[in-house]
Amino acid sequence: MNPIQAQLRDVLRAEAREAAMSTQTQHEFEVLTSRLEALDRRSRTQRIILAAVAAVAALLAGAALVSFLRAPQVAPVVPPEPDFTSTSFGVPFSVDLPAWTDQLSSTTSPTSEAPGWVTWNRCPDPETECIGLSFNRYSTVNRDGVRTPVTVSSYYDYLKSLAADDQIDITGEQPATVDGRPAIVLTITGKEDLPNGLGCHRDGSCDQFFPGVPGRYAIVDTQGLDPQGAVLVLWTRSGAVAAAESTWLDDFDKTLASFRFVTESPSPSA
Amino acid sequence: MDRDDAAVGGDGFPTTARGAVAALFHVHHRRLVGLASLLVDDRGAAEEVVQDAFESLYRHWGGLRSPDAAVAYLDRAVVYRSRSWVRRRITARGYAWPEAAAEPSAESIGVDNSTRAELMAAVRALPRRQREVIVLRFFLDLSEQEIAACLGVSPGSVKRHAFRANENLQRRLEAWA
Repeated sequence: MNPIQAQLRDVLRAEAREAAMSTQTQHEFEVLTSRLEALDRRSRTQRIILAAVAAVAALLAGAALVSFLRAPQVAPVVPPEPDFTSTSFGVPFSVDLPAWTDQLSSTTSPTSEAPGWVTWNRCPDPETECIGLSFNRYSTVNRDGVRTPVTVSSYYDYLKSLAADDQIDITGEQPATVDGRPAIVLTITGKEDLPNGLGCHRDGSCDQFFPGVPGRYAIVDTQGLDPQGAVLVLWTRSGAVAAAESTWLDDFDKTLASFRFVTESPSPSA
Repeated sequence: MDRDDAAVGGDGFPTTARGAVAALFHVHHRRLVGLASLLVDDRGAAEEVVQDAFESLYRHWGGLRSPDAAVAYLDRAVVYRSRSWVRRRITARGYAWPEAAAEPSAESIGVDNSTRAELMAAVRALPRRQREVIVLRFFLDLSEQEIAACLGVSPGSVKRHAFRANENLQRRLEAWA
């Protein structure tokens, strides 16, 4: 420490001492006492407020707990049951039905159900006004009295050949999926009488187009599901009057969307 | 606050916060006002700084380890409040305020009143950080490391500020000579 630093140390201490001696310690002590008492009052007030808040919070929590315990248990969300589940169709399925089936005597019971088909028909005038929904397993097609076994692709080729021969009109063709399986959806209107032209079931019975009556068809690839390798064709069609129920095409889209194969409990083969 | 209310422990030191703070106030108040006055240049501000330091001590009494820690806390609190930029704690130390009779007068240490006034004027004229270093070094006897920790700067920075402070002081004193 050089002389200046030594002087500096002594001067700083002397200066500080002078300042310290001039302060009124007793007065400062009274000031401090007042400040600490005010601090204590604030602390007590804060503790009271905190205690009150804690008590209220505890009461609310208890009330919430009691309310929770007394509340009825919420039932688990169960997906709605489908309108219909097949019982004898060769490829079991479930589906939601279009609104027009409400006017049938039994909504959920089809007009006809067999291993090869499930059909709902509403026919105020059986000659002209039928509206129908049908799920079919076609094993063969009939053309000019000759029945030929079909697969999905050959059935589609068969329809295209009928259209090419101007026997039917095909519109609105588009790819789709039915329960995750590839499908082709198209609108077919018969142009001439084609007996048994739509397709035949394994039991020999057949369906046909009706001239002038449009129908919406879905050809679904069921490879691995149908034990007989039949072609699954879902269709809906409407006669002249029933066609006024303009929602039938939209209804069919909803039906396709709701269609589910029921693989857990396969029914006996037809 | 009534000092008589203070409970006294086995070592003679009050065990309640109010009593302990009161005892510490009577022992250290003047010294702390002296320290603060060197840092703030305002007697009223120095007293307010010391009041704040004792109030802070009272609020944090439960977290102190010992009465010695309380003294160190007060020193630190005064420095912190005197200089808002002081962020790091000062090393606890047992600074003893010189007895009044033992305190050398300006004359006895070879510093006349004129020199003392010149020195203090020179100290007050120093840039803030240089002045901080000088006060901490020569009033609290802190080392460079301790000053660095206290001011939150590097020891090298403390050394530079101390060097420049010495240069400035000598220049001022030579100019007055």
